[in-house]
Amino acid sequence: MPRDLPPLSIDPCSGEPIWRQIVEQLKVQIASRELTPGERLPSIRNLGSTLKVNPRTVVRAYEELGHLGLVVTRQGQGVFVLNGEAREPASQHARRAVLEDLTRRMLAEGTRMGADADEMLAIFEETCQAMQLPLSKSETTPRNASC
Amino acid sequence: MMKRHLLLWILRPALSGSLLLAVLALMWVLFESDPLWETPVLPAILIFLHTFLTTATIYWAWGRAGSFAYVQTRGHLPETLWRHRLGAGYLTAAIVWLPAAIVVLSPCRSWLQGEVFQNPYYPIMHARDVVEVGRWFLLYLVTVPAAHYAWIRQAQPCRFPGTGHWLLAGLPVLLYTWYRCLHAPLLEQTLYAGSAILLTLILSILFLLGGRRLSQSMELSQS
Amino acid sequence: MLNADHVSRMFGNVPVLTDVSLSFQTGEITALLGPNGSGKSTLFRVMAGVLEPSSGCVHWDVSKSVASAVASMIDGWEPPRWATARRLLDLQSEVPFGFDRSYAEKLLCSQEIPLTKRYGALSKGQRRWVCASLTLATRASCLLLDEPADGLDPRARKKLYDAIRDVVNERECAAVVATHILPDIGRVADAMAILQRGRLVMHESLERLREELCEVEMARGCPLPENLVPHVLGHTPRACGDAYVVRHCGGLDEVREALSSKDRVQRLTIDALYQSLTESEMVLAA
Repeated sequence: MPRDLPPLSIDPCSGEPIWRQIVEQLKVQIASRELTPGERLPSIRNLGSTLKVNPRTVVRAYEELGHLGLVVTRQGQGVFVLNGEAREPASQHARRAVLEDLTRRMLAEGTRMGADADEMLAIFEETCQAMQLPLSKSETTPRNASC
Repeated sequence: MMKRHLLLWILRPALSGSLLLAVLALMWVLFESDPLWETPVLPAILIFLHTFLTTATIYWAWGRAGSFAYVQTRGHLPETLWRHRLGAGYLTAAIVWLPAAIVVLSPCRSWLQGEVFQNPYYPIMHARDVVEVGRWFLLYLVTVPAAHYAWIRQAQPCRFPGTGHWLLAGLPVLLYTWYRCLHAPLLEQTLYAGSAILLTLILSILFLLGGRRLSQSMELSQS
Repeated sequence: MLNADHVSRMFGNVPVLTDVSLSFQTGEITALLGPNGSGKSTLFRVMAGVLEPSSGCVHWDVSKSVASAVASMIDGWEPPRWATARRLLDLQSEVPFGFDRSYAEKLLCSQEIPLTKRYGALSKGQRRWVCASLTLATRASCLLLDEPADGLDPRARKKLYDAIRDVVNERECAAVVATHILPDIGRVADAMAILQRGRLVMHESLERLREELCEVEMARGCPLPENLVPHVLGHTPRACGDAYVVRHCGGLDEVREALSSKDRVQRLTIDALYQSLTESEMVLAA
């Protein structure tokens, strides 16, 4: 019996493509284990009618998630969240480049809005906890503070 | 074939006028003491006026209110709409003349005239009035398609949109001349009767085909 | 697919539509936008098959007549005041494409419109709702809705657009919605077409626009990098510098790469694009 999946909220006025919003939110849900491995995502038709978007947009989002290695489509059965171990990890080098870029952007935006590094770090830790990603404090603090 | 609601919808603006005329026609056949074949021009005029007015109402009233456009944009094919408009035209004819026809055929008229008003024509009245009833409906057979042709033509973006009305105006003259040539009672004679019916049918079919062809590209001229 | 091929229409000597070519795909909702008098209604009437184009043609799929595919609700062509909602349902149930009467009744019921009430006795918003419900419940391959949400309160408007999306998703039909109010329709639409003075200014997928559009704010005195100049659609001076509307097929990331860290890039909302389009004489490069 499929349970009610955590809701997605789409903001069509934000200027961000809707398929990308779906991808980002599902990514977060998968990372935080709101969606557990092996769980079936809502069908394309269903999600289209709940979010009031074109089913093709949902298809595009699911394709992207499949491309990222987060979900797998089984013919005739639906789209399933992949097990963490089954995913192919990105190379160390590629991972570092992407994360650095994201962090820089976060810091730039934070600084623009007048936040200092401590505040951002606090938010980072809180979010990690909310998403139930284990964080060992002694290691991360000095490295992040030096940014 | 015919869609009931669409037909009633189109008929509606012409309904009240037709009901009024139906009462007039009924009064006329009940209380006219002259035999009907002596006054054939009166129903002819009434029929022409009635056809013209109902057709005008169906096209003009609907067009003006924008509500005709509403029917037009429901998704019916132009051919369907044309058929139903024509059907509504014939239906108004039936509304006006059917009660009168029943009174003549039943034979309420000859009984009333004979028994109550002591009409001297009583003995031959019923037999010859029946022919007149046929004549009314024969006339409608040609006036309705002609009037519809005229109005459809006027609503078209074609070169001489008014031609239809000139044709319509010429029609009574033509039919009257035809009628004069034949003399009223001669309709009993098969040859004359046959040719009158034939002419009516030919004209009717011509107008029907013309109207149908024009209505294929029906455009709502007002925007 | 509803196709308009080089459609022009004159009223007397006044051109109202000039060489408009568009196609509306099945399964998609297209928002047809444009200021008053831009020719939206005329285009709708031509597409509904009740106005002949002066030149060009409109057809469904390759060569079928539009009359066989289109159900429309056109602003200003309303049912007569005497007709009750039930009469309207009766009339609509005879259309050749078929009509989902129970769905129409459900829609009317959701706004508490009694079937026995005359059209003339309804409020403006209710009238719109009735017309839109009738069109939505018609099983045509293409639905044309001219200002369907005019006079509706925000909740009803949302409900209406949700219903349009549901119908399109379910029946795989094409829908074209003409409106002035973009945010509502932008929520559910897949594409937008903008008319201005009878010409088609743009016709684009919204997802693609969301992907490719961005606004770059340069500090005062700083010119835009050379390689972005060909992608600029428009430009407005601001208090702190200049804002450029940039459309780059590489999306936000590539634009960001071309800029130094001081310059600000952000996604441009469709509303903002539409506003700058209608306010200025911006030309959109393909």
